[in-house]
Amino acid sequence: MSRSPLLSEYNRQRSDYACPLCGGHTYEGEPCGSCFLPFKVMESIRSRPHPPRFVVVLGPTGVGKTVYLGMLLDLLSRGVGGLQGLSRSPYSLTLHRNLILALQRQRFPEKTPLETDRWNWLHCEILGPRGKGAADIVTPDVAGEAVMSEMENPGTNKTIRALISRCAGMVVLVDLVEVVADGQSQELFAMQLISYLDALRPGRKKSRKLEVPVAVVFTKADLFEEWISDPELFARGNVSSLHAQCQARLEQCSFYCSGVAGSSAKLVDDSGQESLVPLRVEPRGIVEPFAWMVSKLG
Amino acid sequence: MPADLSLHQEHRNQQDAFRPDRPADISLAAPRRRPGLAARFLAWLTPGKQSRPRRPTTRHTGESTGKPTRPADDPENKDLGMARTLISQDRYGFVLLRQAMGQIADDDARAAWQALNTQMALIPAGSVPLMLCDGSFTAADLEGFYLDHCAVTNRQFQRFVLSGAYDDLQIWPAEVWPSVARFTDLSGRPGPREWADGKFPAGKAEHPVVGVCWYEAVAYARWVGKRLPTAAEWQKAGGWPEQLSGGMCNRYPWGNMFEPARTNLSASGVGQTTPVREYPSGATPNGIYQMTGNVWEWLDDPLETIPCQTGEYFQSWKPLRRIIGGAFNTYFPSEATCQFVTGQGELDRRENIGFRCALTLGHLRPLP
Repeated sequence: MSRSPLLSEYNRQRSDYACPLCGGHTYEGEPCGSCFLPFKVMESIRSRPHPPRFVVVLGPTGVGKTVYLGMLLDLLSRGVGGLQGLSRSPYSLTLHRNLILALQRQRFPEKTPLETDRWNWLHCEILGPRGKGAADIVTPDVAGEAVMSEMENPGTNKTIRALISRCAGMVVLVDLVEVVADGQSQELFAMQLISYLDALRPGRKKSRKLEVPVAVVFTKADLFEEWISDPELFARGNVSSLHAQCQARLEQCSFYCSGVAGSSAKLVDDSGQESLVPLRVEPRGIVEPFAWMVSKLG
Repeated sequence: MPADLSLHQEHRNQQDAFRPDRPADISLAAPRRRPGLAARFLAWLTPGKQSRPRRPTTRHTGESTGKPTRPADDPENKDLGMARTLISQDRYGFVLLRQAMGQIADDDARAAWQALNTQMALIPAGSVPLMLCDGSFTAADLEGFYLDHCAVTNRQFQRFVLSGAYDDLQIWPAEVWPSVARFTDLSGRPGPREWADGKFPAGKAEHPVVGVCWYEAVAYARWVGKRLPTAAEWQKAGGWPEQLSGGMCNRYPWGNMFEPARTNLSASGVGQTTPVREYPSGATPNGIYQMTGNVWEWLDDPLETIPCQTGEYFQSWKPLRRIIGGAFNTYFPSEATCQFVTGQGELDRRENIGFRCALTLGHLRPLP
């Protein structure tokens, strides 16, 4: 009797490896059935001698997660800021390539799709100042809507939930323009994220703070005439609840400002849709939060 | 009087009470017809029409002494002669004005020409291909002009600051009068944003002046009898189009391939401004330095659009002016070419934007 060419629930080849993110069962050639970690990411992680650290870069829609991550990759590949980043697989370069091609055309990249299986993931080996391997970092470029959805209805997005519950460090992006313009929505979102991170790490003594390092990064700082020289002072004055929450709940927290465009304007299309465009690229404050976090990972 | 001007007047009047050095004859009560700097200098060059006290700089060093100093039209400078004083302050553009021919001695004119040839390079008249926002090209015919060899330095700009130019509204376009009082340094005195107590940072006398907005650049250019270059002029000077090889411009002053050793961009790893005469290997064939790298430079042109696709329209929140050349923190070398289109708000005072000046050849008197 010939073997059926079609895989079914009963004849799929079960992998010997557990999912490196959530620990669930996996099948060859398929994403993790529990957290949807793509197979290509699992394959890339298996090829490394040590398990990687998962780091998440989270924030609401439009805050600049894709731009931040893509620019970070480019800067790390050039060895800026004392860290050298080596991409461990071709898929890691997709995000990087898409961003650079867009910026060179004086455009920002397309919005990240909502579907988990269409997210770009990156797996990067970070070398320290003396060329020593500091850590393997794995992180996805998530859709802001997925983060929002998970915040509002915990458990609806298993990838986000698995990432937050297993991450070794978190970068929380906050849109500086919105903080200045319309108050608290960005601040409350960041507070929700930190609360969720706290909730998914049970078992600590009541008085102990969360040990996961969290970098709060104010994005789009380049849109302001003056660069904010002391982001923590800015946070204390302008997002005071978030600042107080970080102080109360986090063992390791630091505030940063970042910007990618030296100057920006907007394009309007025939339908009246507006889009922000970078007039030139002058990245600032991109590597610093990441370098701080890598130093805290030990 | 427009409401914003009357508010501005009230604000400045309050300030004047605390500024004993402010010339008493400047009144904002009614914006009167102004003859323009060229006419004013023609008047100054005519004996018996000298006028107001000013605060210029210590000659040569450019360092602030903290004491009132001699202006170009200070009666005590009469021993040097007005024309020679102007030349010593790099304001030879006024001495060489074609309209001033009858009032300038030939010796002074020769000295002014000598100063000009030391500090500026001649770009002959000719055609330059300009790329339009849809990617097509159009040819622009340019008159011959002179362009500064180097960006304006802190030392040069200090003369302008010490002359009291920030208090002399005649050299500022009227639309910026309400903002001039905000053009202060770190200590609140008039001057570039990165300066303090009216002085540039130590050791940076020969670095390009930065932290100045487009209007400050225009005011300085007017003060020295020059103007800002246009984008077409910049492209002709830096791109060096050769008609015999098709007339297209190079991307960089030295050719079409980027070479980090020839300029100060992010890829060069310097991370800050350098003196204006560094990177001689990156200069144009006629000796114009740093048309690529070190600091972006203000152009005269407004930024009206960037390359767009069909159905896309450019908009900005505020008036933008073109800047060009790239700076020490410019990430993509392709943004530092002679053709790249970008801009900055007219009132923005960034730490990576400076300027240099130009003079139209046709406005100058011939060499005696």
